[in-house]
Amino acid sequence: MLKNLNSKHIQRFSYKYLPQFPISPNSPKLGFSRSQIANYRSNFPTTIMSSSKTIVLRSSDGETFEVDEAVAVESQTIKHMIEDGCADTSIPLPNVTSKILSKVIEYCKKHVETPNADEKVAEEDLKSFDADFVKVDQSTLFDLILAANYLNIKSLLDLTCQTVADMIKGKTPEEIRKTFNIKNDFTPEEEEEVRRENAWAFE
Amino acid sequence: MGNQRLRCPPNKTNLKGLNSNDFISRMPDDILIMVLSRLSVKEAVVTSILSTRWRFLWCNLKTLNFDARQALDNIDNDFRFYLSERYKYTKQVNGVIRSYNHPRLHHFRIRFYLTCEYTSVIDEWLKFAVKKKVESLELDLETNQKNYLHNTFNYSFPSRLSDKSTSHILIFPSANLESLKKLYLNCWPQYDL
Repeated sequence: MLKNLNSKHIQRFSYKYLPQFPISPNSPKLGFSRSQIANYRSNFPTTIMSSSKTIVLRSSDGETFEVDEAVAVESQTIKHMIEDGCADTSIPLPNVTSKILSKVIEYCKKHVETPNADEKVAEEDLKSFDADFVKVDQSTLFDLILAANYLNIKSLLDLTCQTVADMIKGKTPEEIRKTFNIKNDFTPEEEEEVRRENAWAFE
Repeated sequence: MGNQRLRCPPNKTNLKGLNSNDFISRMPDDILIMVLSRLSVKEAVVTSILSTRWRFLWCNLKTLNFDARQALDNIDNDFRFYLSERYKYTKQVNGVIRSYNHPRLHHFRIRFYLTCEYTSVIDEWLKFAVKKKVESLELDLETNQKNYLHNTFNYSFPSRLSDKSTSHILIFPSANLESLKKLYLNCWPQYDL
């Protein structure tokens, strides 16, 4: 069969899978947009490129984590790095420790694996996973917020911010300060002024 | 993240004089504002007394949502309850308008049952919205559903509303306000064509 593969076949093959603009030596610009790269990759035959790619993430303390691309692209930051072609070897994440990164990966894996919650059981299961996920000490919770912010994972950021909001709701200022160990650095006069300005809120 | 506007300059986390257990204060301002946006306006204003850093954080909120209908809808036809809720509501909105010190506001939402006796109060609220170059204004004062308000007159939306300090003029029906993109009114406006 190889004998019959002539130049005509090869030309037709490559024409189908390359981006649709004429490439010539005199072409002024030879660049691919993000969507062209994504389109190219999705059309490229699987014999040449594996369809389930894994991405290596490196935490700030040097530990590496290998994850499926589908899980990694839950993070918009990582997704853009891959699209821009910066993910050949591994992706360094200098702002995330290994402890937090492993939790983030656990979160993303669960959310990718759960099919899009039309089934009530799956939705309940995901909700209880989320509820347990944020039952952590404050240090971890706020590190998760920073990581979700840096990695741009909207659902994780929403979940963690909502958790903190729920810790503030319904509490008096003194209770809030106690919960979060916030130091009251107002002078008595300043504090009185703030109370007066917004008296309606403190009734 | 890209379309979330930073309303204060990005700052390093504030580590000056912090308890080692005070994790929330290490968060940058924009994250704290994200948390505050998930609270009611009253709860957000309560945080202004936590510390000097928190004092004006709530003023960076883009949305002021004063929706107090739920409490009234749950309790039918209790005029006295309505009166006390109305007092609290107007006090809350007036208080926020006085203290909100950011130059711009994106969404301003008023949803309650108010009649024409409150015309001057509501005019002040609208002036505030105009002054803050609001992008989306919602004024929902529908009173016909409440029997005890049935025979009173409804608020008339002003045909001309100006704030002298910034010379913004809102002329109804064609909203001439530069920044206003969305206007929702439910208060039976009366105007001469």
